[in-house]
Amino acid sequence: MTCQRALSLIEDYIDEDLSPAEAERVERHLEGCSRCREEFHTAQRLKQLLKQMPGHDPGRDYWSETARLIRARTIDVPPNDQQALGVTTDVVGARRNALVRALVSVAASLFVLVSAILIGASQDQRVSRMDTVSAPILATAPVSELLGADNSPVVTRAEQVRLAKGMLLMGAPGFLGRFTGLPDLMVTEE
Amino acid sequence: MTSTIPELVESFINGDQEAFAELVRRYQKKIYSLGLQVLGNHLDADEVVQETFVRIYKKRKELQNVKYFSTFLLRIATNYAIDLLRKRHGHTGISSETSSLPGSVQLELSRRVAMPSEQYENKELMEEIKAAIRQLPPRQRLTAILHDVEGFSKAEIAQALDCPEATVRSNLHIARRKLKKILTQRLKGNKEE
Repeated sequence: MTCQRALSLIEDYIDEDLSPAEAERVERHLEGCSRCREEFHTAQRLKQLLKQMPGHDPGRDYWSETARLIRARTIDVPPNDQQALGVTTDVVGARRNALVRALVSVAASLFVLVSAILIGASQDQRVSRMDTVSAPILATAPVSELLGADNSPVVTRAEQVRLAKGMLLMGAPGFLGRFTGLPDLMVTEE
Repeated sequence: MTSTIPELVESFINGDQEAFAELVRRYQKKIYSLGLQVLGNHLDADEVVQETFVRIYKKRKELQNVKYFSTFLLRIATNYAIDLLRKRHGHTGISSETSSLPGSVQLELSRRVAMPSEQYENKELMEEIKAAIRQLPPRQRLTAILHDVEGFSKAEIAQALDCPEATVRSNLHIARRKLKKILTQRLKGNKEE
């Protein structure tokens, strides 16, 4: 047996994981090789020391107190509260319920999304009722740029503020930005 | 008559709460020892013990498909210990965090600290070994502790850590090599003593 082979088997030899024949070959090599023997002693010493690592016994009172605490968190929890605790008496049932809840959540989200799309689509391309401008105006047009016949801004500063508030109320531009009610907000009380 | 572990597990699955209490009594020291060796302080070891058994209680129906209760328990404990180890990250010193313990327990602990332990052949050396172990990454540390300190077999560790036995061998080999490197002088010096 070569030193390389012996060194690769030393740990298994110490752990008694080798077959008797293999263990014997390692032993024979160790008898005749001081370098490998030194490696063997170092590895064996490490294992012995690890085995001797002192445990720590906190004492009888600790064990009884721990057992009591575990009991309080498990056995002594009322059956109704055990569900809240996450105790699953029927694992398959619980998993099924979780799946149903997830599917319902996804369906609800899809419903909201589709509704928003349909509402947005039905409101699309609606023309503003503002009659102070000759050309039809889409609600999505930047209203601050609209000019009247005398080249003065159609939308006053106060109206812009009201419009901004209306936008804030309706949410971000997009589907709701096309909402035809928006121009109505521009109607002044003059 | 004393029940065997499989009998206790079966009773526990069937709703016998006292069987669970008995399993706690039989295994809590083992889990505490593991937690202490891996995490290095009493409070974390205590947390590992409690959380492990609370989780076992929650998963009791899963025990029907478990061949060996001790391996299942070990897996839950090691997973929790690894999570805690990563969470603590750096806070791994052996500490005297005993102030929150009941007075009687503190007294017992102080008595133990005061007594020269029969196991402490060389306390200083042991502290060095603990420090060396703390330098290992979580998986290597856990593998070395489970195998060389706690005496679990490679097959048991593979099941507990949910990895092939070859991975356990590899982690163990690397961990030992690192420990030997860190403790070279000590191991040689001690051998000559």
